[in-house]
Amino acid sequence: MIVTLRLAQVLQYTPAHNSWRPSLDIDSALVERLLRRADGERWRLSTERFAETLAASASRAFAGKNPGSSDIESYLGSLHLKDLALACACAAGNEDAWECFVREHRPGLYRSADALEAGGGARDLADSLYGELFGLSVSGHQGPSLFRHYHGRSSLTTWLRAVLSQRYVDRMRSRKRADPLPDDEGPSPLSMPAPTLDPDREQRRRGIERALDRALAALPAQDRVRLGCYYAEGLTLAQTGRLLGEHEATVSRQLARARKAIRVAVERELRAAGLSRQQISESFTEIAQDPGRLDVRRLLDEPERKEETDDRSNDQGVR
Amino acid sequence: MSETRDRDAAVEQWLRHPSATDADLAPSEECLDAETMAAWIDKSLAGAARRDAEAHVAGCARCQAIAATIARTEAIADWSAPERRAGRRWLTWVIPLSAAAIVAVVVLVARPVTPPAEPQSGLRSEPKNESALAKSDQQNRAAQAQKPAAGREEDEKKALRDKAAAARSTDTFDAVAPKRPAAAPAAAAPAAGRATNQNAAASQARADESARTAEARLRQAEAVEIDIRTPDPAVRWRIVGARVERSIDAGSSWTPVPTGVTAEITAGAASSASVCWLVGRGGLVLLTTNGTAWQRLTFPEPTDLSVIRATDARNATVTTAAGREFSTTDGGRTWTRRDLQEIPTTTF
Repeated sequence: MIVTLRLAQVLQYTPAHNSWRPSLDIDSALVERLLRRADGERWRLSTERFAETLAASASRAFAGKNPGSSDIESYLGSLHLKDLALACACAAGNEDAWECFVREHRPGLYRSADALEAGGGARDLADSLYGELFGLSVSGHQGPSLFRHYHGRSSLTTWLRAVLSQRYVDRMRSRKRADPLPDDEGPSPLSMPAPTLDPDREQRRRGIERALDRALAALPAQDRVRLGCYYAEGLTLAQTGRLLGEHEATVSRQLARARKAIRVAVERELRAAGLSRQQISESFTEIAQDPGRLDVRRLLDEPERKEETDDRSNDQGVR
Repeated sequence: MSETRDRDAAVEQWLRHPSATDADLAPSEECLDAETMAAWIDKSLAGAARRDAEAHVAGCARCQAIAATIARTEAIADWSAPERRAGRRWLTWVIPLSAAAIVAVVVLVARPVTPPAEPQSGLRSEPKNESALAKSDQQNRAAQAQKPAAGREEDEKKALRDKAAAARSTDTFDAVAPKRPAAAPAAAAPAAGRATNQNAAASQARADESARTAEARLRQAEAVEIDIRTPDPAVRWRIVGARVERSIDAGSSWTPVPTGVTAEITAGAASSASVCWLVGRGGLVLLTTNGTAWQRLTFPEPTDLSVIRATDARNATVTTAAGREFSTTDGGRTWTRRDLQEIPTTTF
């Protein structure tokens, strides 16, 4: 006999999102089967508790949709169930689960932090993250564990690295924004000769930048990710390949193909603007030798983000 | 051609121009939350969810920076994938070990037939030992990490060739630079000279052969891409290039299990110690139910397959490189294509 476990009558409160969401019907036999696959007995995880965790994960995945039971079953079956059960048990305060987490995941968390800053400068981020996983807020008060944000769609390891990396990037950004401008020990700008601006050159630079912008925008998303990771972020071919699930030789080939596509697109634009073959070659070389404010990372950004960035740059310029 | 090359080089220089927008990586509403980012990196997202995530990362400097940061932590923090780590450890050591072994063999073979040389500093470089090569490799990697983008791609492509070339040059130098003792009888000199030349030529050939062997081992080491765990910790599978191997002693020793196919294998899943599924390019699907013999299954489309999940010898789901899913419940005799669920991206 199949018993349908209804987690809530109409709406279900999900603390993770601080909102009421429609409940999902999950077959109890399915929950028990998944609990067995997740090795939930190891943590003495109850079916009800695990059902709540699965429902929270599915509710989030299918927010605003009306999935069929087979969709839900397929989704739940694709989760990293053992990791999800471990996270669920840790959030519930199971000591054995915590021991397992500390033994298997915590050292890696600290190694990740050390990989980001060799001098241990990112260790405090790992400490803070570990505390939040335990349910300690910044003020030291006990609260809901950060594990509530883990829904099993990735491995627990990758999720921990993602949270740590997200915080690290945001911290670096806030540090850079807070850095004071360097002391201007040089001669007064008034006493310096005004830079000689060549209007023709500036126009050519803007033309190339516009053409490059459009060429980058026309590339498939994966090409832009590859270009961004390799050129803007400075990853190696091997690191880029691991990130995208490609062999490094493939990354190299695809980068060459993307560069060619960019070159052809820019050439086409410049030809359409009336530049001769020689002028196009000169423009390419000129901007390569002195790229000025050419910024591929900014060009790769979506238009609306780019506008925000431009606005901020302008603001900073005014200040 | 020269014009095209020059313009290609110019494009590369534009791309390598350092960014000035480090401080502008502001988060937006659309930024991927940590779990979606992790799922995208783990290749766990499918269909529209994967495309949406990728499209966002492609146009978001902050999410690219986060993805790159995760990638930078991988080599050091990959603590939950012992099978992949083991593969990389082997790769790390096989190169210096191979080089050291080649040096040892060449020196041992060359020395008995050539008179012992007087130590003359500055005339003869000592062969690099294993730790020196390993240290040099580490230094190169450290330098690579510090190096700006300029020249990195070419450097990386040359790295494998250089490693083998280093072994070759070391061996060659040792082989062709033997010294005759100063007190050797004059009459014996021409014969000794001929012998030395012959020995040098033979040593050169051996050195070249050794270098070729090192390159072959290097290629083999580089080809280790897929390790597949089974529920039984003692039984594991791995794909080395186009070769499939199985271990029944937790990876201590490996036995080739011929598949009879040459297409590239891209992924695998083992639902038990004896049942393993493999997928690859051109609609390749292989199944073994006894751990020794492979059966090629008919797949409905000759498309590249990238992921497989299997629960037993009958039930499996295959994801194509284009993100579509096909399932079988009868061991691959029939396949059902189904539209993937869309998993929306949200921020917590």
